[in-house]
Amino acid sequence: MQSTANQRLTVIYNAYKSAFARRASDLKQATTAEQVQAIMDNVDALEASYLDAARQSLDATGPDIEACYQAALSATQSAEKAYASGKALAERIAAVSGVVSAVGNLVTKAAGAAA
Amino acid sequence: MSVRPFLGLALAAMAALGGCAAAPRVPAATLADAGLKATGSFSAEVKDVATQLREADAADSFTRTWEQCQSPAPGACVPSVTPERLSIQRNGLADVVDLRANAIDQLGAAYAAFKQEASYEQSTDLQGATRSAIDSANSFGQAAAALNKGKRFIPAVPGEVGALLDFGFGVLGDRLQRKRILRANREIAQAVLQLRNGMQNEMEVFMTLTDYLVGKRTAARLVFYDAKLTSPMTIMTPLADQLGVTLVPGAESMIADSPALMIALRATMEANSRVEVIEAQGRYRAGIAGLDALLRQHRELETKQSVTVGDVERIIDQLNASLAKYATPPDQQQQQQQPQQ
Repeated sequence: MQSTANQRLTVIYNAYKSAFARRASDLKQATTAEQVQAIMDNVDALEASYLDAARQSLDATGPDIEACYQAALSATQSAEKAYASGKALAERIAAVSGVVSAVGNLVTKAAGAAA
Repeated sequence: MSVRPFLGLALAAMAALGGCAAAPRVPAATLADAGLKATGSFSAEVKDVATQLREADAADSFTRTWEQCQSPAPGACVPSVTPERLSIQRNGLADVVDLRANAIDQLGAAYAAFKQEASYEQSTDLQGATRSAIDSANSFGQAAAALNKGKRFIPAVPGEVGALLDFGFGVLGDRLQRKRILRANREIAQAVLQLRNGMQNEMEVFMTLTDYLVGKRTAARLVFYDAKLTSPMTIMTPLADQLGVTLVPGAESMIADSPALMIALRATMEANSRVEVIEAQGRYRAGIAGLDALLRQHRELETKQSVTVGDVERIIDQLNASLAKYATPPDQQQQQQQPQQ
């Protein structure tokens, strides 16, 4: 079944919301400047994707866009698992970086094709 | 042949025709008042979202810097201002939201002209006002698209909504004011429909935006709380009131000395923010419901020359009550409720 524009927006927003909610506790565990920067960059990138998505109609269709949507869903689930299973901070940061890439691709594809 | 029966019939026919052709000034004025009230409240709600988007940087920079400073990493505690890119994006989004607020204001201006037309037996710039409202509603999509590099902002209008405007375009009376009022009634209704469809289609964006903005505010409030910059009584007192219990003297210091109570109140703050989101989302839905109710009354005016604006007013009163609640800062709300100690 094909995803709707609202479903895509919801995935993108929830990805940002989760990362934002976890930022404070992640930062408390960050022991290097690089980790601090990576945590901040991840949340900022997800927020930028959400703000982009909120301004645009993500209603383009096509197999590549569906693939991006599924990839974004999968990446967010992986990140959730990383937190739920108590993975080390470095692994959690890497998982959220994966969400950043997948969500960014979804916004670019779904909005770009709608132009 | 007696002229009496004929004269009686003629007088009755004239009276009937006169009544039929009379301008529906009273119901039109009633509807205009309801429209003014509805557009005023909805505009305030939408403008508030745009304002919050524009003003988010200060609280955001405060929160992110505090959070960074909680890290044990060397050199982490430095000022962390919201990245310019995010600031620009938020302002761009606020511009799009403002376009919608402008469309609502234009509709309000059309209702004001409608009211003037209905209240006085003189011509006003009703046509100009209604045309502006329609143009504004119609051009919203184009203006938003221009801001958005040509991409469409509003998805297609749902078909079932069009049925709300199935007036049938009844027979117009002879009197000029009646014609003007009924024509304006239809034109304003078209603008209401355009606006209503736009707001409905943007519902999901507004729902997430509300959550986003409340999330930012809550994060900043939590920092104030964690840093002990705000009294725990701002949360404790309304909670005690809600539960119908009286706090003992010295409750504030007891809370400050109890990590469990501090954490419990933090959880209450987060739960309160959820309520705040639900109420803001409810206001948006109430705004759309208000426009729907107005549309129904425009149809009543066209077909029956009468209106009953009770449901419009009920919806708008609820919207206004919720707006008023959040127009008062939490500290003042607490003081108004029941000062403690």
